[in-house]
Amino acid sequence: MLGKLLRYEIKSTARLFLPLYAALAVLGLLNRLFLSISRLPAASFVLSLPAATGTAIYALTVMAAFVMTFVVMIQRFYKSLLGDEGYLMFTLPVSPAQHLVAKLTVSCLWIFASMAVTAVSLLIMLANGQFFNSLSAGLASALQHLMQFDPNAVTWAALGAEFVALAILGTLSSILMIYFSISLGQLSNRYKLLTAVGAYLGVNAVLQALSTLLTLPMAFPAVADAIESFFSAYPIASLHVAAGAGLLGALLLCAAFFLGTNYLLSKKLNLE
Amino acid sequence: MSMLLQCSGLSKRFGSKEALSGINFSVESGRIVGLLGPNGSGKTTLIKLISGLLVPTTGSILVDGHAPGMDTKKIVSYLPERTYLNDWMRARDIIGFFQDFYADFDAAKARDMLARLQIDPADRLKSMSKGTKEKVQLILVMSRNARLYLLDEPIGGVDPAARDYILNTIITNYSPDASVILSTHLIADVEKVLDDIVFLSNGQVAMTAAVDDIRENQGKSVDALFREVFQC
Repeated sequence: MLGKLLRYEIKSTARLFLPLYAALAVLGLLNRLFLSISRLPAASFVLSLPAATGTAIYALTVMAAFVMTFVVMIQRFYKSLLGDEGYLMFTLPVSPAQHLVAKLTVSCLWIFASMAVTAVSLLIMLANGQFFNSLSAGLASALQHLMQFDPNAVTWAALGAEFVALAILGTLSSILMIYFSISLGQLSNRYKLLTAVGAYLGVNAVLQALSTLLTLPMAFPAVADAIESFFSAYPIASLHVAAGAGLLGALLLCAAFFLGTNYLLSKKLNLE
Repeated sequence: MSMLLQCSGLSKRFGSKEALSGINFSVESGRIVGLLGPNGSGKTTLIKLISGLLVPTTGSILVDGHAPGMDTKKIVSYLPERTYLNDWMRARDIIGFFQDFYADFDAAKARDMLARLQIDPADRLKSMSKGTKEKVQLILVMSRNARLYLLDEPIGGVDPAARDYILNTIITNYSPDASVILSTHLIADVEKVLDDIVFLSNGQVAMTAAVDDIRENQGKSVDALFREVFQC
């Protein structure tokens, strides 16, 4: 059932994203053309105009892609589960947890796809021999610096993996926090959206308070000094500790928001 | 006779407003039950509780022995009073969707019914009139071989000719161990297909009766009885 939900969710959202991604690729290609025209030795002011306009339109389209990713993420949850379409979705023999996993996976997928497509369109627009030369030179020198710091490649691979995991879990917990707030909002009989926004701000305030509380010991000079000396003595270990703490925190948030949303959708569903 | 649906002590409150209170009634297999009552009497709320879209404040609902959930959604076919289909989909996409998710869905039957009502499966929902959309939804819902059909205002928005076809479909489509609960205020139109009636008034069951009883013992039609009970 989850596979079918995922397929259906991708189908419902792809028709919005794919045209936009195609537009980004085409704009990248056009801009490449315009930019090379404007770089011609004989290029006048008039010939540089398309490049300027094209770049501006491209930048706007990139922004539009990210705004749309965000809007669709909210809309797919709010409208397709808690709006009229929810009448269909919640009478399917599918558990609320499966709905949640499907929405979450596909939202996450589009967020990363939007980033990847933007990167590719930038490459289409700008990549040439010189670009790749400076890119590989930059990477090589960065790698050299890292190796000077710690020659063990495994260390950097592990740290890299930790930060990728952190980025994914962080994205998931941000999405789940929005889902949780919307699910709290639907409990209201009259002001569902307003309550959802209020719930989001409330949850945010609680998280802020918690993180302030957790970092409070740093205010003591003794603690701050101890952390600093630990960091300078064991820099790599400190990075692992920081990434580990971040992962643990993100994992706890994901679990809390997932279970909370699942509870609200299973036991407190209130379709108007 | 086994009890297909049992509601006991069922109440639903929205804030301070009590939509349903102390509802007790049950439905046996093989019955067509009319859920009748004036606007705002709680018909839709009751149907949504049975289908699991709302959670009762107190009381319990058992569909074939299970509380509303995954098990009951497999055997309950629900027609809401609104359109719940994606506008951008074509009729045949939606048939595929139902086939994917409901093991008891009969796609051939659905296609046949679309043809009978002259609806092109390639048409997008967006381009259909409100009445046509309602027909499509009803076709989908009735093409399942479910145990319990919950039809909220199934004939409200369609023309009288389609109304007859739909009512015919309802009586001829379902198997003897299945039951139908349909809510409507077009009583005269549905009267001939009903076995039992439940009158709802201000969130309470005002009367339950077998239609034959009403006709034989009281010598009245359900429509006349309704007008009498709910006289304004």
